[in-house]
Amino acid sequence: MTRRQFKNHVFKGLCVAATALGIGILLLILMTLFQKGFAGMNWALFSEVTPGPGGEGGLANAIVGSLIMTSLGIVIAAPIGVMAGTWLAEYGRNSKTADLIRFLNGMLMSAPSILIGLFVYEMVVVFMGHFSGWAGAIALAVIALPVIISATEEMLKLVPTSLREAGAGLGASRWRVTFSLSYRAVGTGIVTGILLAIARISGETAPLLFTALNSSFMTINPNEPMANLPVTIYKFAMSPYESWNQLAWSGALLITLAILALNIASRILPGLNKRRAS
Amino acid sequence: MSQVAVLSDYQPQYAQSALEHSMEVQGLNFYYGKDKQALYEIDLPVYHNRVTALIGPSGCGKSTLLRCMNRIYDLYHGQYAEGDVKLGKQSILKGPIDLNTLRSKVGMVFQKPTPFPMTIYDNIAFGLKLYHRLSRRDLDARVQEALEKAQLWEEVKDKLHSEASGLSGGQQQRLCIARTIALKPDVILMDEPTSALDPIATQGIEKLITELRDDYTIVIVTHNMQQASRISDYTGFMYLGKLVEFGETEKIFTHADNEKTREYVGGVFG
Repeated sequence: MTRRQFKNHVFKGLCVAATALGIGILLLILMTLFQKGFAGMNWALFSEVTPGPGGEGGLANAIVGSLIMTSLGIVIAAPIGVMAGTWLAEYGRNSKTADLIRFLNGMLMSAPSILIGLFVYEMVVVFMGHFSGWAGAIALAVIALPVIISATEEMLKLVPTSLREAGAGLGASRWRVTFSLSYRAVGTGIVTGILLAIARISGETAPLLFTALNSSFMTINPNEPMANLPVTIYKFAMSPYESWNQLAWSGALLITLAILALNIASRILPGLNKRRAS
Repeated sequence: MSQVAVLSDYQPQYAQSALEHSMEVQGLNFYYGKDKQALYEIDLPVYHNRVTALIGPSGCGKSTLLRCMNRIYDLYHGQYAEGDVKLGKQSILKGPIDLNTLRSKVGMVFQKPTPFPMTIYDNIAFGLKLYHRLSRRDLDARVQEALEKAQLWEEVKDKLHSEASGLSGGQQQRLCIARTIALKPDVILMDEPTSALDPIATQGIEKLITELRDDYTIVIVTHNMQQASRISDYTGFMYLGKLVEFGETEKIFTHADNEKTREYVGGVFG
């Protein structure tokens, strides 16, 4: 074996080992999660609210709370994000303002989520005087926003110049070209970006700690503190009670499955569109 | 909105002599940026219901000139034109005009077929819906008329509501032409409309262009000299951003006045 081949083998071996280590740890986590999570899967999990210390119950209030706050968060973030991304791609493009916004958006994307929680606590919770589902939804929206903005911009940048020129060549105004042609061309890509943003916020704990807090009761009123899966998992997993620990595992499995489903959907969606187009 | 009114005042008078100007380019200079001049003092008449071809080597400015005639360059920051371009009597460079109305009167067909990501029917209806409030039946009729004129109707009449991207390249380009003529523009600008097509499809488009000449004024940019000589009535030869010679196609190709023109059409350089 030549020296060059030897070096090649060593490097290849290291790469394979590193990959195996990563995948191995991930598998171990998933196996433990599935094993312990499925043990607690039963009807009560979805029908009963979180129990008192040591008691039996389910996660119904946390599931409902998470669904409500995630939905509200996306309903707030999606229109703003899509519009901002559209401005960056179609109107601002090469302007200094656009560069500045892109830079700030990048910062927002990598900002620690606990900071966003504190920010919303100061802005909303202190202002309202109490914890609430609204505050939680707003915190989640702030986290989803930069994801949606950059996904929208990246997608619109893929729209070929020729399509825009063809639209303008028929006398269509800029917004008409954007709405009727560009969105249509890359719409599924934008929806994919929104799905990934949902996946991102559905597991967030820190921003909800200071905003929605938690609750042992079933509520669908976002003006009240709201139960949610991540904070419930955090609280139950740290507790000494076995029934709470079990619920934490099951809740973690639920979130993982939801995120898995969202990721699969975001993979399938663009493919569907391509098939329709060809 | 007063600008719009001015533009729509322009009505071509078909009864007049064949050499009436549909458009006229006067002393046009074009810049892709402050120090990047691409066109120099272009004077070009565009005769009514005639096909005018612009030929010349790559980078000579023929596409740029075409892009001044519907001001499509306006989409891009930093590009600007000086001099004048007239549609009928109306200047399209000087004074404020409504660009969208202008582009509905001066249509454009591009080098690559660009079907919109929608059905064949909607591709044609898209432009019509921008300018006319038509009943479903009238819209259907206008769509059919446009597709018939573009010689595409027979091929697509049974699949009007399937995606346009499923058509062949030649069909897509005829769809783009149909989309343009659906608006009944005064002038159609074509920017190398056959350069992305195979010889058979090219033949189809050329035949279509000669037939459209009865109703439309056409300006076509081509780097294919045979094409220019086959389909055009007038030819302008451009070189290095200048219009070197303009005249009847037959003259340009057989006994051009300018040495450079004779060299180019003779294949000495290209």
